[in-house]
Amino acid sequence: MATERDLELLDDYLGNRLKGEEKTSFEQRLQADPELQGEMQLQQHMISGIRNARAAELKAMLNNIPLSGISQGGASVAAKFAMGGLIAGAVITGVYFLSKEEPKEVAPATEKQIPATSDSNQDATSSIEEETKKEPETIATESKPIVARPKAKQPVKDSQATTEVTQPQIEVFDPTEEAEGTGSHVNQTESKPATTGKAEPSVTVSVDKSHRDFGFHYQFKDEKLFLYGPFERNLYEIMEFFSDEKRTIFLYYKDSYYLLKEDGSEIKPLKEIADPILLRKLNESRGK
Amino acid sequence: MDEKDVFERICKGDEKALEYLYKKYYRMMTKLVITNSGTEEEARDVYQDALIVFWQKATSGNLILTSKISTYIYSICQNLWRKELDRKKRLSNEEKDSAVVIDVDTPEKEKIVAKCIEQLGDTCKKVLMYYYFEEMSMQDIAEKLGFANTDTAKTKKYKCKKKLDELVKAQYSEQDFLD
Repeated sequence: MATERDLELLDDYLGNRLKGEEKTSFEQRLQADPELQGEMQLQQHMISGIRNARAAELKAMLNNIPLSGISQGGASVAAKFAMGGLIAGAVITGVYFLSKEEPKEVAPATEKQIPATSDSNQDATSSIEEETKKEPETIATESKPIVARPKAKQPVKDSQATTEVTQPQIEVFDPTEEAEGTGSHVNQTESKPATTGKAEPSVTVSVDKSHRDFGFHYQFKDEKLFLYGPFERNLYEIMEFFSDEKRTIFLYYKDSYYLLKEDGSEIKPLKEIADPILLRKLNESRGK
Repeated sequence: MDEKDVFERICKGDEKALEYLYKKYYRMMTKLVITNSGTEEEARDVYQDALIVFWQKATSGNLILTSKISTYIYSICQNLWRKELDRKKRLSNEEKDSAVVIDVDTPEKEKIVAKCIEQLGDTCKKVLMYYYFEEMSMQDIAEKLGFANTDTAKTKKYKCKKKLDELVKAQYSEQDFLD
């Protein structure tokens, strides 16, 4: 029969608290003593039973947390959205009238909007993009990517004419609206609308790496975005901005931004955005 | 509550901080599963499991966070969901092959242990859970449960474990006798 000391040692051994010499000699004893092995099995059952019970308890606790605030979020998100649109509109107007005389007044105003956009969720989302490059080491990584072929259920916004982005009138894309969206508008790769999805817009993305004629192109067809080219999974982001019911979509891929025009369904080449002001805005909205 | 505060509170086993995190990232994390052919229920399940993994690692002091909390939890969700998808795939293959091996003995023993844990008093359960699941130090357990000092916590843990030992052993031998 196992002694009190044996039980203590077993407890430490199973809890990984035995080290070095002590651990080795205990393992040797274990191998030679079937009774002790039996005791160890029993202790293992008990410890895993305690752990399972605690995990179940925590799960029950999480299940009891009311999520009404979250699921009702749609309505409030919509309201905040509208509010964001109004603020953006005001900022745009302000920028338009004041830019010549008081450019320094405008910049801080815009700057003030930016921190609001770095909503923790958005931070998280953009950091998740980075995470695909360096996953936390404590997690057992698996090389296989998630097979992501979800059903496309699209609450697509009315596809109004795309805003002219090549002009430095970037205020149109002021991402202030993003500030309040619990779900960020900066969609992660292949993101689709949340099923709880209320006011949250999203673009269904499909990547075609095999098209011979189109190496780095895009196309809007049937309310879906098709990307043609050697896009690496998880390395691109679709960014949507709304202002005055207009949607402007950008693609972020490998440190570059591309404007995606929704007009027409033809396949268009992806052209990198070079405008430094627009780039700065986009970078800010990505939370960089 | 900023990121650092939340993490510190989680490390100390503050369940309110866990609740806060749960609400904060609920939509973001469940979206991952929902947009990858999962149901809302599966999404919630995966998110809860991921949070519990995070909680366990943080409370046991085995986690040095090098990324944002959300990034870390997201990657756990990803891994868990991948595993679940693999499991589903395997299951459908097994159905085709109809060669499923069922281990009857282990679940039965698990049930016995679970039943015995239920028979312990609340404080006993908590002490054992904090010690074996959260892997808290005796100092933390004493603080959390309002014991006078770490020696009290140690004694309590020893007694509770012994009690569970006796209960389980009695049940096991009863089970063996029935078998």
